[in-house]
Amino acid sequence: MSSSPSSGFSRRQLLSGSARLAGGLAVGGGLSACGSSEGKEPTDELAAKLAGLTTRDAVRRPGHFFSVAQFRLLERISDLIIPDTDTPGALAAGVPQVIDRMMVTWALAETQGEWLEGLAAIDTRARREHGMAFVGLEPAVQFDLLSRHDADALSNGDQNYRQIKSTIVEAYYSSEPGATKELRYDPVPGPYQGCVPFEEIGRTWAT
Amino acid sequence: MTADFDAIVVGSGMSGGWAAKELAERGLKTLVIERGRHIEHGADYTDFKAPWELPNLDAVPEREQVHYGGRALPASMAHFRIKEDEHPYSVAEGKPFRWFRGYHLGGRSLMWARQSYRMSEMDFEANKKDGYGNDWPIRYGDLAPWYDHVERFAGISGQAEGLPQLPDGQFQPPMELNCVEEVFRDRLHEAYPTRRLTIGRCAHLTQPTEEQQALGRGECQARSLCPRGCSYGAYFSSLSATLPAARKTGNLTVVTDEIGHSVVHDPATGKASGVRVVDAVTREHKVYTGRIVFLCASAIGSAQIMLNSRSEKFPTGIANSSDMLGRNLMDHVSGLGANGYLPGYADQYYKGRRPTGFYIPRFRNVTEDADFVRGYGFQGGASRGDWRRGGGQIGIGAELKQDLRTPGGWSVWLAGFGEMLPNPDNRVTLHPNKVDKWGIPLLHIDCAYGENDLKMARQANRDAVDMLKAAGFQGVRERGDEPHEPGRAIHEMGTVGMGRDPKTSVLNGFNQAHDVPNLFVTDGACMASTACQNPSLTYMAISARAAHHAAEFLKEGKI
Ligand SMILES: Cc1cc2nc3c(=O)[nH]c(=O)nc-3n(C[C@H](O)[C@H](O)[C@H](O)COP(=O)(O)OP(=O)(O)OC[C@H]3O[C@@H](n4cnc5c(N)ncnc54)[C@H](O)[C@@H]3O)c2cc1C
Ligand code: SF4
Repeated sequence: MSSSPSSGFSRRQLLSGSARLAGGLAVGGGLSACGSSEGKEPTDELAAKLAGLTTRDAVRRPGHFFSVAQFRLLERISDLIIPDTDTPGALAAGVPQVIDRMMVTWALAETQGEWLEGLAAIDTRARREHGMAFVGLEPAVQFDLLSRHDADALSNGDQNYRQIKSTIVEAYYSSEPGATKELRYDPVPGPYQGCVPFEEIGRTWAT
Repeated sequence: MTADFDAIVVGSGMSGGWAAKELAERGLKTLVIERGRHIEHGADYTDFKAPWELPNLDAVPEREQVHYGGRALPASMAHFRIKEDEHPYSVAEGKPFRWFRGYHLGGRSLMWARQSYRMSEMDFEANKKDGYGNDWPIRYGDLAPWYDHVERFAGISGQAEGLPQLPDGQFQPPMELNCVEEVFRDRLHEAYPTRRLTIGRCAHLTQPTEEQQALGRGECQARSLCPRGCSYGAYFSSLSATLPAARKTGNLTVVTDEIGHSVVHDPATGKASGVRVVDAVTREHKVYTGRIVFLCASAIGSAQIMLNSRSEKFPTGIANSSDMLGRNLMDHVSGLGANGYLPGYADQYYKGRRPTGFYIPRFRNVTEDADFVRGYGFQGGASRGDWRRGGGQIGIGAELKQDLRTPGGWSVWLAGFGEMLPNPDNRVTLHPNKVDKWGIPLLHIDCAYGENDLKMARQANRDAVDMLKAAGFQGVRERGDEPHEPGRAIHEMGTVGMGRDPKTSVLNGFNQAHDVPNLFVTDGACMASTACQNPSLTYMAISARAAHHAAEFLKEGKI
């Protein structure tokens, strides 16, 4: 796992000083195309062009880690993994915001690079299969693509994807709606009861 | 010359808290010297934060992990963790040793897993019987009333079983086993009639006494947020229990951010006259004088202070005429055991997050033979999978969400803790030239398992696997071929051992230094053997007992 397929950037480049910006563009640039780079593998040249911030999607947002385009992709993936059903899903629970904040205040450059690579891999697949950025696809097509990507990545031991998925899952079930509306949360359970029929509780304990 | 204090206790953790309480209650003006910062019971805990109130999913920022040996750790517990890079120590080439410390008021009594087991008569006799280590100068009978005493005050929940190798105590009501643990218990007894499974005995209040309530302690609410500090005071710590009790006497003074540097020896009297400290902030030195000194700075910490107490009379460290100071460092052999899962029981669940597991007391060399001496017990627990499995399982969307609404299958873990033999070559010394930022020589640790320890580890793995298989568990796997490096059980002990003979031990049967009669060491340093039980309850009983005798000796003018 040495290169980010969408950009041709090596992992080392991604992690090096200027690569922070370039790394951002590996996804931001690739995603930004909205037609302009359709069907083409984004090249370093393209990325460099997009670095001129000629497109809205490559815009970095002050105080945030993900560019507008990267964040939009993260939102779609979060929503597809944990959608709204009869309870709120990942978007309502603010999962993408939690993760963006983590990238700023928690992650080191190496981890940030893994996230960008992991997201870029999904976008690259969309371009390869449909000639279009992931966020531009129909929801049903997105679901189908991410389902297959999920199965492939988890069976291949793709750590970047696994990190993305498990963090989305964790951020959701640690959120207030995830813990209290989707699951059961009891901050002060009182004396432990060892044998309780599952139906009396009804759902998995959040903690 | 009048001393500043009747008694000086160095360290405010599990044993220091007990020493302070017992000394202060006997009317002695007592000073506790703590190297770490002050912690306010309740106000400095994080137990009332909901998961969504904790930033970064409660992970310590990656860039700060270097301070914690590169480990990820919950940010809500980091307030009890030292920055390890600020407190270095060295180890012998190829002999890793993990020294896990808690430098703050209350020490590791705030961080412990609260498992509380008595040692038995066979443990106190073991050294004498098989010849490894010094004969303990005390027997179970000497300590039994003190176990009673500390259990009543601390509050230990557990189930009486009538086992000679694991004496019953003054228990508060036991916590419940869950359904699958009951199944395991019954099948285990069927397959191995002399092996028992009992609920973990733990320092949690299940039925607080009046005395405990008067200290502001309440019943355990099964939240399992203990490592953040418990605002209910439901588990035993120096902050919930012993220090408040000591404070009530009006005889207690506590200083924090002052590092015990050395014990001052007065050659004219042959006694310790006080303790030299370094201010952790200003690095200024000063000496507190006292009529008796208790070292409770944890096993390795107390040895460090003594080794650093060099004088003309004691050039290699105070009370070291035997050359045994720093020797016989031990831990429990850990990293043993097995995991497995049990199909079925999908309609059974539990309510609450029980802060203890179960315990399988030692059976090797008790009811069953072995090709090694001593033995091991197993801690363990059964539970159902939670939503975390969702991160690694294939599938997304509404189906994934629906699936995680139901808990996963039942799994069980067993973790063995084995008795490590005393060996004088396993030792701590002062580093010949490196010092910490307060100018105190670093500790150098040279410790490795011996043949018996490793043999025992292999058998513990086999036993764990066999027990799970016999009980019908599937996917049974050993936890690992090799035990963890010593220190990982966080039950380090030895180094200032008790014994009958001043030529081969540092302390006598009252934890009094053979060479310096008003110097007492009552933390894990005093242990002549490890037994296989979690040791802290024994440190508590030994500290209370020693404090009682020290106060008597003082009153009688003996010291
Ligand atoms: C995660 C974890 C789980 C554990 N689980 C269990 C368990 O289930 N059961 C069990 O029995 N034990 C358990 N233990 C071990 C238990 O915490 C220790 O056995 C116990 O705390 C030791 O008591 P102590 O008084 O010797 O040392 P500590 O409790 O560590 O206290 C020593 C105190 O001395 C202070 N100090 C050190 N050096 C100096 C100095 N030079 N000057 C002044 N002050 C100094 C320290 O800051 C500290 O406050 C666990 C420990 C950990 C960390
Ligand atoms: S489990 Fe009990 S002791 Fe632990 S934090 Fe909860 S109430 Fe306190």
